[in-house]
Amino acid sequence: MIRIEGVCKSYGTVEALKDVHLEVSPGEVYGLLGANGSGKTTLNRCIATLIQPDAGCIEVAGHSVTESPEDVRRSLGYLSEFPVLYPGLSADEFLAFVGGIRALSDEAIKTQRDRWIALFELEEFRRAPLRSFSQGMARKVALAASLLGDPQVVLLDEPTNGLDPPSVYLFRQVIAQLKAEGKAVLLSSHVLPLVEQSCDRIGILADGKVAVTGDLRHLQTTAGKPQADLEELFLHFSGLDRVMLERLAVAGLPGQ
Amino acid sequence: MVREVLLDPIALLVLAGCCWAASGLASHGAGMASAGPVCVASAAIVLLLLATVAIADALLFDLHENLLLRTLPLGEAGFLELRRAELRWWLWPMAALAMSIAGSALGTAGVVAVALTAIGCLDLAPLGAMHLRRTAGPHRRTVLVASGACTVLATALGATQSAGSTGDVLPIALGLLLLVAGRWAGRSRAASFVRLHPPIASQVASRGSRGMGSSWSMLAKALWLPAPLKARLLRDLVLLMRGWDLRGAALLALSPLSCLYLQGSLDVVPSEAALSWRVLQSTALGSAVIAYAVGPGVYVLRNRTMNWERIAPRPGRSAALASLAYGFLFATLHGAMTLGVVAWSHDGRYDHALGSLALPVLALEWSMVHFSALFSLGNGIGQRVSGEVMIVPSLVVVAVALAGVSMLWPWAAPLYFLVTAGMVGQAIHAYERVEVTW
Repeated sequence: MIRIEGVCKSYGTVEALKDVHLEVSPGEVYGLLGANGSGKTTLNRCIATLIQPDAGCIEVAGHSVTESPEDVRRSLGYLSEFPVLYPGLSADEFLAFVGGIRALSDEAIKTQRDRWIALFELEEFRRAPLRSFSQGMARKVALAASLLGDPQVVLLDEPTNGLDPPSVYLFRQVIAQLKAEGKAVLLSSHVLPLVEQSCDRIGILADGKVAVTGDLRHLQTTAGKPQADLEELFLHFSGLDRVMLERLAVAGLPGQ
Repeated sequence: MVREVLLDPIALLVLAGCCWAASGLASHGAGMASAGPVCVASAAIVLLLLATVAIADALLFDLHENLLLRTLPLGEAGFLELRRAELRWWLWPMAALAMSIAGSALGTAGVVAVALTAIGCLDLAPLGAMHLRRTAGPHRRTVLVASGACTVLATALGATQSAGSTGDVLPIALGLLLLVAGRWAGRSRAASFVRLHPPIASQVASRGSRGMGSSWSMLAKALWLPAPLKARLLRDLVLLMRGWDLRGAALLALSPLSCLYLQGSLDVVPSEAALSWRVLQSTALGSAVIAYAVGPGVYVLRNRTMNWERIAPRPGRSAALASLAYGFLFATLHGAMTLGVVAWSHDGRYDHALGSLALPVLALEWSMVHFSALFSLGNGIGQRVSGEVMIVPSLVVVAVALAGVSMLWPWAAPLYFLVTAGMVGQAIHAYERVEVTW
């Protein structure tokens, strides 16, 4: 469903992505980990046709993002890290807007909107202006908007930012349902327990490349640390473990 | 916010246009009878007070950042001082508008009366806003609007009455009274504010969110358009109605002034050519204002959520169609108003020219909007329009060229759309290629 080969992207002199390779199959949830600035958001934007890669090939549902972006858009749902909503619209109106521009019928918009609003407990606030929403409530609306139209491929960039524990639990169930429906989900997050619990495979993006990819056991074996948890593996593969120890030593704090 | 709105050259132009229109209306009202000048000047004073109270209310209670400001070690008095400083900025355009009304009606005395009022309002408005919140609660806007409407009505009735010359001092006395009241209130301002503000602000902060009304669903039922176009058009119209595109709203509200200008210029028309030229001149004026309103400003407003639009099917085509539909809606209304003036003003003296003027007028209206909307789409970079100021001279060139063509060959005006067919493709291409990194 998502196939990425040799993708590079630079912003001026800054190389955000250098030869990225990655694949997500139907019915698979792929967790993308990376430190701040490692290129996760850039990769998501390239897949979502929002920016063009400088080199390499990205295919979504068999369509190239550069050659047939139109077909890619029809099969894609994307939740950005900082989703912008119109503060002057209500949740109902914003979802009607997103459903409309995705060419859904009024009936389909109503059915899908009601479903997500009920699930995320937004019933009471559905006609309130989005400017009055908390970060978590706005994130739920954005998540609902990204799932409108039943997309085959779903990109979720930091989807649980600002969500309370019950909502994170609900969100995990939503991901499980997407997986059961055969959808390909690319989940970028810093919340390691969420990635560990929800994802079939995990990729760690470091220095603009996917340093390692596989399930937790594969990562442990590759690192030579069979008992390591995901946090330790993340620091190891992103090359941050030594850096962290050095920083702690400079600060006079004991590191483990 | 203050810098964005009040120091924006377009906002200053809008203010100048409003002052010009208001002084014209005030002169007309003041000339009706001997009480006219006093009534108009007094109305300006009362409306200034009401507007300042409304602004103070918004600054003290409606702004989201108040929650943050109230957690800073400013104290209630510090918060009030901060908001008073901002109120001073918002007060001067209102005062300029009131002065142009009172000045046109009553001369220097009117200007002085408004100046006294403005100084008094700075102290009175925050206290007035708090008391209004306390007494009228959710109905405060209704109270303000009803008071404004009553003032206008009373002025319209009073302006037709006769009055003695002693009435001329009434506005000055009113202004002086408000100044003294403001100074008096100012002495106890901080104490009253510290006492009254926290409970009201707390009540506002804890109040549940209100519903948004049903403008979206009502418009959705009225529009029979394909879903992607309808959703974009509804978004633009609803945000405009809810005040999220203030510059656009102000410009659109100003555009009918060109019809007033046209009505005045049709008093004496020496020839058919002169009639056509004046109608096209007025059309160009109004449609330029509309074109600017539906161009760069609204594009930037839409652009904030571009990542949602860009992952929707055929984003460029739908965005271009929606921009044009939005612009054509207002351009058509303005064109109809212009033709209406030709048909009905001066007892229908010019209605015979309506047939020959309809096509050039509508073509000019649509062309201007077409140019501005597509220029904005084609030159959108990030969250701004590159070369936005170029729209103004470009619109002048388009308007003059089209008006000239319409005068000489009226049937040729629609050819503009053929000549500029490439602009559509260019705008769509640019919209779909711009890198969305926000």
